[in-house]
Amino acid sequence: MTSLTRRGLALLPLAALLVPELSAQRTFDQEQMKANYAEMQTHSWFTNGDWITDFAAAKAKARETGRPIFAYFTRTYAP
Amino acid sequence: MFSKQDFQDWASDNAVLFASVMTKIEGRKDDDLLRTYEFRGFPSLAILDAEGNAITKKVSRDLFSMKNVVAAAPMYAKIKAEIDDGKEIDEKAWFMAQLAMGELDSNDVREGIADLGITGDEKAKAEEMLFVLEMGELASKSRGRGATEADKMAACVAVYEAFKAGKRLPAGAAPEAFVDEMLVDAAKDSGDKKAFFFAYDRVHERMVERIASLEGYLPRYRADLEKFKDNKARVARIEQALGRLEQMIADTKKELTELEAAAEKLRS
Repeated sequence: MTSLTRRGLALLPLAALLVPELSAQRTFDQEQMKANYAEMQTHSWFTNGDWITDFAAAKAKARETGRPIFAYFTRTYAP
Repeated sequence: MFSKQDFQDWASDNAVLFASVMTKIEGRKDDDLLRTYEFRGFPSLAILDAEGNAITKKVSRDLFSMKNVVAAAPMYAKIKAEIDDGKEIDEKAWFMAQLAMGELDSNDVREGIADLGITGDEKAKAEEMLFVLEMGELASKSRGRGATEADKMAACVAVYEAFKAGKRLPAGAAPEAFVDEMLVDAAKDSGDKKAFFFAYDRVHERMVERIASLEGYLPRYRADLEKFKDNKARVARIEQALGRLEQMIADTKKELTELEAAAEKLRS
């Protein structure tokens, strides 16, 4: 067994302790997320067009008008 | 694109605009709708039917393509369903639908027009879209990785010849910027005022917009230099990036000056 392998094995218990921390999902500051979304809704691309943000409402309008849905997928948070 | 009046005017009469916004707000309905359509990144575009089924997830970012895709989407979905059911279909209608949806290349279109005997208004439409495809393919070939000076020269000649033959791109088509630049280059060499001034205003406007857009980033870099002034490594990286940005601005300003000088020379 090489010295590198021995050192690696010695660190295993520490790694085992860290796994729950490493695998924990990232959390998002909800107040910031809400502020981001509110800010997005002031952007000119959004305010100047008849954008619907509710999927059910978009489908209902598509059924009513016979028009296809032009769906734009975007986000308001940094990954 | 979405801020522009021509997009809004068209969209208000022809489509249902749906912004699917991933906000990470807990409990918000359909917040991660993107995953349903197996998109991996933002932004993404799709055309959906009234049940939310994706008709296409391939939507080009130019208004000309968007208009064609939205107009053809219902017919495309209908014929596709007939194909899936094993029914006989109207081959011409399928060809025109696929063409509008951006599923054909220029060879497919030339063969389709000939083999299917496309005539009249449909032929005119198909030939218009064929020209858009040809210019787009030229742009990719002359600007893509591995493109040589010979490829660029050949593209310039091809665009100029098409212009002299009376061919014009429809407004808002994706290769417009490429075609305009090729025309300006060809016309500067040949002294062709008609070709030069056909494209000049648009090329000039794009350069001015590009400079403004690039200059818009300068304050942020300068603010970061101040913010991280005690971090030498960080400052070095920011200065490097700032240097590249400033060079891009200088290069574009030089191109603009040369363009304006060429215009002045051709006017005299």
